[in-house]
Amino acid sequence: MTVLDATGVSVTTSGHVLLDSVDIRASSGECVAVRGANGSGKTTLLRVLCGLLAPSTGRVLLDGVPLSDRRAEHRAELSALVGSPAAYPDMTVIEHLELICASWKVPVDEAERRITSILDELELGLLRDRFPGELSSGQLQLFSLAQVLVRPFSVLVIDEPEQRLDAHRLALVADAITGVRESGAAIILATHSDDLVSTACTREISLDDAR
Amino acid sequence: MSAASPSFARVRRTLLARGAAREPRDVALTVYSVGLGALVAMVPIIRTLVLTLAAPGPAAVLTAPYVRALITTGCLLVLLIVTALGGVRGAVVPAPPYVQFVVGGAYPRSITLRRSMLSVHAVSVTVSVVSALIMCAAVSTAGSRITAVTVTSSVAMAVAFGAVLATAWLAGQVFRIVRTSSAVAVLLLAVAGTVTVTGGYTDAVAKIAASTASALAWPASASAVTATIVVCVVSAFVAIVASSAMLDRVRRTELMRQAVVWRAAGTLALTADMRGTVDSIRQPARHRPAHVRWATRSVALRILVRDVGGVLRHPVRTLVGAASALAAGALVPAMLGASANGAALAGAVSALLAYAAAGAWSDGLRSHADNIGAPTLFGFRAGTGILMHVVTPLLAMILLLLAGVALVTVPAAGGSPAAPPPEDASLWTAALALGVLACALRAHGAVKGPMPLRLLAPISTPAGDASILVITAWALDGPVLAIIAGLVLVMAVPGGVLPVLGATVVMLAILAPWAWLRLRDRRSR
Repeated sequence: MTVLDATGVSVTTSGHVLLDSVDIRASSGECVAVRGANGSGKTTLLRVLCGLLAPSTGRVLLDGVPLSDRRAEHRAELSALVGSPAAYPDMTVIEHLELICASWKVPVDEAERRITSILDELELGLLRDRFPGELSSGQLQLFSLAQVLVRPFSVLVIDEPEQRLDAHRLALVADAITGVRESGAAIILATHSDDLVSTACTREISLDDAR
Repeated sequence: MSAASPSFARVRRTLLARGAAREPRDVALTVYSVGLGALVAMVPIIRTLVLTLAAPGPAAVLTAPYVRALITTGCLLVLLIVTALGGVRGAVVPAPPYVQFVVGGAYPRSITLRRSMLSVHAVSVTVSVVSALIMCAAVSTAGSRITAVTVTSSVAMAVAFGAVLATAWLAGQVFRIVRTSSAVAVLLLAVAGTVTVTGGYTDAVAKIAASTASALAWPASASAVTATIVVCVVSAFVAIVASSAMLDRVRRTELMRQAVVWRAAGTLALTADMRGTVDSIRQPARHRPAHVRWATRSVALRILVRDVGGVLRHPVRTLVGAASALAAGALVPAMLGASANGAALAGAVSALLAYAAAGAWSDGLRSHADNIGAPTLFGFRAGTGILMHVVTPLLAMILLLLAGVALVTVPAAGGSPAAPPPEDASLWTAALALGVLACALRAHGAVKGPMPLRLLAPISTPAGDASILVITAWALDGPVLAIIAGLVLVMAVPGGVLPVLGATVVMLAILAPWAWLRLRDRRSR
């Protein structure tokens, strides 16, 4: 059972407290929503949970081992969307997904199945041969999600997946996240969307309460 | 049109009065600046160029029988490249408000854009004529007999070429014949490369060139000069008239797109944001070949295929990069045998061209580096990704630089014993080193990241704030390091292969840890 476990995590920069002593834990098959007002530290927490930012206090464990972006096994287990990933401007949507799968040594047939499934799930099939520069902002958000979901992982960290999405596409994302959760992954997502929380998440924590 | 011209002249005067009106003292300052710039900068550069070209190696090329074919090939290549460039930055690109309110107005574009086009013709013809005169002066300085007939016909040909070049640039802007002109240019390069490598350049091509239009520039007799001048003047006239007619076919949307892009690029360049400048003028990938299944499981091979695919999807950039790399390679032999100043100039220009050319093949490298510091998408480390993305530019650069050296030395060996022999291993090693260093500098630049805020702190000096110097040095570190690398190679080349290899290893030993520190800084940001 994969567990991402953060205890007493805080981040302080130049005397300013960005995140104040947060405890959060996600197990396999669980989706935890992180909620809070703008500036409450949601993205900072997610950056800590991805290993991109070292906490000032506290610790983050992945399967009981201190999380480190340097560990190959941790990079393999944890997939994250925090901010928009920079895409290759000269590569199409499907070529991105293929390259991501290949980089994680996913067999060709399995990669094809995963890619088709995700493109269908997020209704990106018609955009498969487009370059990133030819996508709208909402389509880009779905494309970013597809990149994160297509690779193998057991822990998923996502920052505000509802950004720039209409209600229909938000429902698609909620279904995709629910599918990932039901497949046994542990998920932590920061969101402002009540719909997403009620549809896809199993529990929530509020950083407003923590403060 | 004749009725519209006077009223447009009034419109233009009004625009000037409201906006960029120039007073006599402004004009005087411009004339003074241009004159001083020409005296202080251009004259020494032209003199150095003449002396460099008059050195035994380059002079052997200029006086060899195949020089007609070489110049004809070069001119055709420049024409094709400029035509392709028209789709990126055309001959006429006024300011966006001018396009919006004047070009988009009631007046024909052959009137509203005429002055801009005439300026382009003037600059193009001037550069072409100066280039022709430099070559004539170099041949004369080298001791070869050069007659008034040769100079006159060369200048006439240069005038015609300059006018045709400007018109071709406009044609590229109007018709956007990027792919065709790129394909023809690549074909031309391939043919030139093939005949060079197979040794047919000096014989077959020279004979063909001698019987074609290139022979006009080297008339066999004084009586043929008149015909040459007439043909050239008529060609220039037709080119200028054709460009005037073509101006009416310039699309306003395309003109506005280019105007906005280049205004933004100018603004970013003024702020020393070189990366932003390049990104702002970067053309989106257009060419979209059918999706190809990659059966291999090798990630390195997939990255290689990805990068090659990216290169093919940007035909213009690839073409310009290839031409720059070939030119950089062609300059390498001048590092040996030329005067000290000439060798230094050749080394610096060659290294700069190589650095610029490597940029055309490094899109994958830059895109990959942009993701450093973000959650990883790929199953390999950032440093590994950088190394894998360096392979394509490295292979391309080495191949093209060596081809550039071959283009000059292989035919020269048959034409003149004064030219550097093709078996001079230090030249080939220097070309190889140039390719490796250009790619290393690209990788070093890709992981640079945003400018540290501490560089913006003012530096008080008696002459004012000197922080702009630091900012400029930070922004232009790639080109500056490339020039230094070129000068180091110039010092090493006369010593043979080992000093060149040693200098390359030392420079790589400096660049690699520096790049690693930058990478580490980006990851922890």
